[in-house]
This record gives sequence, C-alpha cells and structure tokens, in this order.
Amino acid sequence: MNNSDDQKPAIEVEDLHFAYGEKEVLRNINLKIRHREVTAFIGPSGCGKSTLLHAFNRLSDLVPGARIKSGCVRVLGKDISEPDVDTTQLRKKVGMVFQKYNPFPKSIYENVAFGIRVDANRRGRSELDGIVERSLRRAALWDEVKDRLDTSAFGLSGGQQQRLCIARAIANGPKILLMDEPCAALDPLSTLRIEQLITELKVDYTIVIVTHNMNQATRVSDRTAFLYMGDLVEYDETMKIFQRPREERTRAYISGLFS
Amino acid sequence: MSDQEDRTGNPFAAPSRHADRRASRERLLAVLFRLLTYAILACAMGIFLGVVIRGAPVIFQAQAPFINTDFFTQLPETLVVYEDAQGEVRKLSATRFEEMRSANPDRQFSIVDSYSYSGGGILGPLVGTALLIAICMVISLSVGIAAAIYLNEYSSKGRFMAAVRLAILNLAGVPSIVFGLFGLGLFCLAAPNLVPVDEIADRSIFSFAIPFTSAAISFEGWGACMLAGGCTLAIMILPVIITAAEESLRAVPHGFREASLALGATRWQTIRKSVLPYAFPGMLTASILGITRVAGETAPIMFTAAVAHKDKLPWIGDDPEASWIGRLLEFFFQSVQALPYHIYTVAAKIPQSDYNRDMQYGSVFVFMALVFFFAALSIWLRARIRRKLHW
Repeated sequence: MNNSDDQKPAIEVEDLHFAYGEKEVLRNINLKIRHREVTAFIGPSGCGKSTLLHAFNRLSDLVPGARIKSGCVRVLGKDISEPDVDTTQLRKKVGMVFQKYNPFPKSIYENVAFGIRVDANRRGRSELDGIVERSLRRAALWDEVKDRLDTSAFGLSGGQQQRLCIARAIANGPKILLMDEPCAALDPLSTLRIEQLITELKVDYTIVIVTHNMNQATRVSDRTAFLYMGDLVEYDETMKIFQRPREERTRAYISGLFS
Repeated sequence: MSDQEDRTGNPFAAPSRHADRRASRERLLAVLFRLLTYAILACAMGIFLGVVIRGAPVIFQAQAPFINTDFFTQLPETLVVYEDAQGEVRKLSATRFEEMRSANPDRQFSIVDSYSYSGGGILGPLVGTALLIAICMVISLSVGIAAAIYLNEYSSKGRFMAAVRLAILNLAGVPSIVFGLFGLGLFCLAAPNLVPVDEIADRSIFSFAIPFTSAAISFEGWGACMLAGGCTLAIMILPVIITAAEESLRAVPHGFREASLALGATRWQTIRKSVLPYAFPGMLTASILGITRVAGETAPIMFTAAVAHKDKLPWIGDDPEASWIGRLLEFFFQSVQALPYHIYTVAAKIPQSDYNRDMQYGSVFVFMALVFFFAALSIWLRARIRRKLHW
C-alpha cells in the first residue's frame, strides 16, 4: 500500500445509526481507525461494540432485520453501507476472528486454504502450499503443526485453534483484521500468546479488537473506544483513556464501578 | 393424634394408618403403569414371534444352502394342491407342477385345488418395491433437501413462511389413502403424456398435436405405473424428509457459516462446503428411516402402481426391437408388483387355507426382516457418525 493511501483512515465511520428492526443499537457513531494500529472497543455487554465490529465486514447482514439507518462506513476508502457492495471481496480484505474459535472440521491445511479455495481465481498446489505455510508462520503456529497439517484441526488445543483461525483469516491477504473477543474462551497462557501475536501482526495489519478485558485493551491497543448503550462515549489513545479519561462514564467503567 | 403428640413424637415413627393406605395406593399405581408398559412389549413380541415362528421355516431350511432360494428367485405364481398316486396331498407351484407332470407322464395326479399368487417366490414384489423406493427417494431427496436448504438457510421469518411450515405439517398428517387417491388423480389420470395422435384417450383433459410429427401431448395421465407410484410415495414422504433435513442443517454450528462467510465465501459456497457436508450424515440417517416407511406403504401404491400379477421382471421388455428410449419409457411406465401389496393380496384377496400360509408368512417375514435391517442400519450409522463428527 502506498503512502497516499495511508493518509486516509483504514476505517471511517460517519454519523452511523444502526438498528435491529426498529431498535436502534448504535447512535451517531463517528470514528476513524488508523492503518497499522490496534484499536480496542470496550464497553459493557450490549453496548453495541460487537455490532459495530460486524458492520465493518457486513457480517451484520446475517442478523435478520439488521440495517444501517443512516450514515456511512468507509472501509479502505470505499463506502460499504450500500446494499450492492460485493461482500465477498470486502470480507477478503477485512478478515475476522471470532469469540469462540471455530475451525472447520477439516484438516489444518484445509482450514487455512479455505479462503483461497472459495476464491474465483484458482491457484496451483505449490502456490497454495506457500500461502498456507506463510499464513501459519505469521500466526506463530507453523512450528507446532508443520508435521501434522493433514490431521484434524480439532486435535489442536483451544489456543492453537484460535491461532489457526487467525492464520485462516491471514491467508486471504486482508488489510484489516477484526477480532471479536478473541481470548474470551482461552486460558491465560493462550491469551498471552494471542496478545503477543496481535502486537506482531500490527506491523502489517490494521487490527480492531473487541474486548471485555480492560487489562487486555491496555496491553495490546494503541487506541481505545468506549461505547455505552449505543453511544461512542470516548475515543482516544489508550493511555489517555485509561489514565485521564475526559468523560465521567468512562472513568466509572474503567475503574470497575459497573461492567 | 393430637398436636402435642405430633410435635413431641418420633418423626421417624411408623406411618399412621392413613399414610399406610396412601403408600399402598402408590404401589398399586406403579404396578399398573408397569403392567401397561409391559403390554407394549407383549404386543411387539406377539407380532414378532408370530411372524418368526410361522415365517422363518419358509425361508430357512435344514440342508445347504440353508435358505429357500426359490422363494427369492421366482415370481409369484399359482399354487397347485394335488393328490399323488399314493393318495397323499402335496403342493407345488404351477411351473414345478407342470415340469413334474411332463417328466412323469405315466403317473396319475388329481388336482385338489389351486391358489393364485401363493406359489413360487417373491422376486417380483421385491424388485418392484426396490424400484418404487429408488424412484421415490430420488425425487423426495432432491425436492426435500432443496426445500430444507431454502427454509433453513435462505428464507426469512414471515407470514408466508409460517404458512409453508404449516403446509408441511399438514402434509405429514394426511392419511396415506388420500395420497393414493391424489396420485391416482394427478399422475395416473391427468399428467401430460406423449402419445400417438390417433391414440389419445377419451379421458384426456386437454391435448394438442406436436406439429410435423404424429405425436401429441395429451393430459391423460400415465396410467398405473412405477413412475406414478414413486411420485406419490415421494409426496407422501416429503414432510419427513424436509423436517429431518432441516433438523440436520440446524444442528450444524452457526460458527461454520459465520467463519465461511467471513472468509469471503458466497452464500452457496458456504452451504455447499461448510454446511451440507456436516448435515449430510443426519440426512442420510433420516432418509434410510424414510425408506422403511415408504417400503411399507400400501395405500399410496395400490391405485397408482401396484398390480397383483406380473409374469415378467420389469427390465424385460415386450418388444425386443424397441429403441433404448422406448425401452426406458416402457420401464418407467409399467406397473409393478410390490411387497406390501403382495402381502395384502395373498392375505385378503384369495381364499384362505393351510396351503397358502407359507406364502403369507414367508412374505411378511422377509418384509419385516428388511425393515429391521434398514432401521438397524440407520441406528448404526447414526451412532457411528455421532462418534466421528462432534464439535
């Protein structure tokens, strides 16, 4: 990506109002997410942080009745709020990692190759092998699985499965990685590895992470957005949010007065 | 017993007379429920044993090959009961009887009686039932799985969809004889058929000639035939297939769909690669159970496909000169024998005697064994798949 592209934000949200049916769950969101930074979304359950994340790759389409009421979301400079956006192309550029690691019941290799296999451009076996290896290396999983690429992904530990899911997303060659509470189902050690991985990946990818864990937000993110009941309360550098929040509600939330 | 005694008395003391009566009533009820439960077992065992005791001797024999092969390799034919020279009453199927008579022209036999369809074997009905099941399953699985995919993966909730679901439920509740009559009306009497212009039937609802040929499309139905029977059975079994297929689709974790879509797969790619492979085993199990139901149905085929008598197997054509397309049409548009209908015929349509009991119980025994086999197969498959696929 050249420099002129980098001047523009990776994701730009303007006056976004988002609703499930008649119920408005996000109100007047304005937000710019920069390239190659880790941005954390924090806030109590039901505040809309996951909804916002799912709006970035239009996976929100899966929920019946979910729609953008007004405003727009620009991803990599393109407005994706129009109904006729090619979501398959969008989702190749914007990868996603889910709360509960969800590899397919296939081999490790086939899991990573999935995105390439469903792509319209067919690729040769050797090229595919290369992509799989690079993606697994990038997700810090290669050394652990290189001898058993053909075994089921379900034989891996939880943390490994989640890293496999990250490798699977990386294989598509995305610019942005969305992570929806990626460590919620993992033990502390696996969590640590994923957090290290996020820090390594930020060199190449723009990462947006939803988290319930405020320590995690301080550990991995450059910027933090605090959402509360559908409003974006505060969005700033992580250090500022956690040390000198401007809003009273932010202060109350990060100090654990409510969650 | 006064309050005082109650409070100071031993709480674990023997129960009062009142409590005693209540306890014995409890026991009585438990015994009653138990007996009623055992009654189910008794019914099942009664049917099972009755068929096995009378049917197994027809199928199995003491000498090699230990199975009565004639019963499986011959078509049903007339059973001849005769008295031989020694005055002993014996029975033989018509063909065997003729063979024996021509081999021993000097011996004297007097025919005592004859019973239709009670001699020979059940090859014709077995083959017919297999073909009906095959046609039925091809149609009902393609329509049923497509419908289930639409209902579970594409459709949104709404009034119209609620109506569709209600229709499926209602279809499941329609008595099978109604399906039979519906199939008769639609497939046998009204479906479009290709016929020579000068042979259009009087009952034809509507017909038109195809220009420049001597053929016409006539809405006069296909008559009683394999295809009509297969279609009727397919409509009957559709609700079962749709419901089971939808259930299997619903059991596939939502995460697979999310992950697949998030990786840039299209909706159809997601269904084909990340949903169907994992729903397939469940669908397979359900369709095998569907087979056992379809195999046993008599009412839907008695007007649409089945005949009591057929002197040849379905793939043997009348006209050896016919083109392959003519043979194919003849194959699907012919009536067949079917096992349940055969049982109905030998049990209810012909005079009863000790001589045709073998055919009756033999047929029922084979039929039941087949159903057991399919049911066991589906249970085994399900257990195997559950062990293999878990998430």
